[in-house]
Amino acid sequence: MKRDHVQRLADEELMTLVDRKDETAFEVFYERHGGPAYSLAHRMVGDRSLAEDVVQEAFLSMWRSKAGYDRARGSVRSWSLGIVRNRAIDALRRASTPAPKLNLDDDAALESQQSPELTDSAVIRRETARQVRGALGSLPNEQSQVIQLAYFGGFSHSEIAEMLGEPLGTIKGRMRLGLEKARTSIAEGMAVRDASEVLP
Amino acid sequence: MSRESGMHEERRDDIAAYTLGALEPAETADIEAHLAGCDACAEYLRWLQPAVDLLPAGVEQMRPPETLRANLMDAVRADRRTEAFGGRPAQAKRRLFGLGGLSLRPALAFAAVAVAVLAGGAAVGYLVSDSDRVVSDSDGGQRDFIEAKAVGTAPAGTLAATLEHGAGGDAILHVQRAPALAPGNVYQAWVSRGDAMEPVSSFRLRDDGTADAALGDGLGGAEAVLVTEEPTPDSPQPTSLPILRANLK
Repeated sequence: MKRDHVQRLADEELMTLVDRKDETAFEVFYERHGGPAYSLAHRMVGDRSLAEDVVQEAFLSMWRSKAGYDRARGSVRSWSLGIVRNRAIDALRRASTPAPKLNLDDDAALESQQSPELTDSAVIRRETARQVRGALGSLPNEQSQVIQLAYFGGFSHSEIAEMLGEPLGTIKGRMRLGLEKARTSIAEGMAVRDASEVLP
Repeated sequence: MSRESGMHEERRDDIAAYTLGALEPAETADIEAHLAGCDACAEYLRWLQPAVDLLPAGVEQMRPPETLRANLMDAVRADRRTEAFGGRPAQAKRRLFGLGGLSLRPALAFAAVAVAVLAGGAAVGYLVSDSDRVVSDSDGGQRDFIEAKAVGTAPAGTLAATLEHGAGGDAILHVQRAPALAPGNVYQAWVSRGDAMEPVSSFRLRDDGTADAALGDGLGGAEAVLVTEEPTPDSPQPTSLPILRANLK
């Protein structure tokens, strides 16, 4: 199949081709999601070389499992990043390396790394990143902290409870409150508000 | 608050931890069983999930190195070829030249320039029997896959390898199985032309006993590729009998 045709396919259609072991489709799949995958891996393991290994392992597992994507379980982006995250957690555990600290106020560093070659999608991704960081940064510290330790650090709630010296129920409650506020902020254009009025 | 809604409230804490992957395995199984039978909690999960899905978008966006794509696609193509030949998937290239990575260095990395002559008769009499298979590459080119055969004294079943030979003269030796090397030793691939043996690549096995050794593009006119175990990666001539042979003619 011609590459330009493959590039016009939606993610879900692309994954059907990947499932049939189409190399071109897989390369286009990597082009679309490799950047966010590498960014997530780097955030989690804090090392460029290890992040490369994590992404390579994750994408190869997707290729070898014939994609295994199920559209009923979410977007291709979320699915692929979930696999990358699991691989990064495995890498952290193998290396017994603590997850690097997340700096929610790193916009200045980010700006300094911008290059004139950025594509439109990269610009959008960076703008989204800025908005998400803003939303997370608006959360109370104790809520943001447990979400980041769980998601980026790969720690279980009981590990976090032990780490912070707080009861298990408190940790889970903070996770829930923080996520509900973040979810509400998504619906409200990234401005964190009280979630109580919009919960299902 | 009713007893039932209170129960759902309690479950929502678990669901939040579940979306973050923060539950213990037994708790994960428990909440998944509950979600399968509780529409209210399943709806809450669907509502909450986008907040978690957006978390990766909040990290600094970086451009992956081009070598990552190249290595990944090399591994994908190697997988396809190996599968076409009925073998096991190849292991991806590593950036660092560790135990497994050494096998993927370009052929000439350790190759000696000199052509060596194998000690009299050593290359004669090996049991070889090749079977070829031609596979079309994604870019339309053809690549021969030649089964390498165990020769010498290696026990049956301990060796398996395939020589991938491109139309442009490039070649990769895919080792699916080989005996562990003595400490410090390497495997060395040689090209035979008449009585001459030319070193083309040194490699070690990965942890799983496999290797992919790039042999460069200097196989024109060669009769066979052979593999020996050597004490150093730059042996100018074989110091042991070959254990593998793939006939090119």
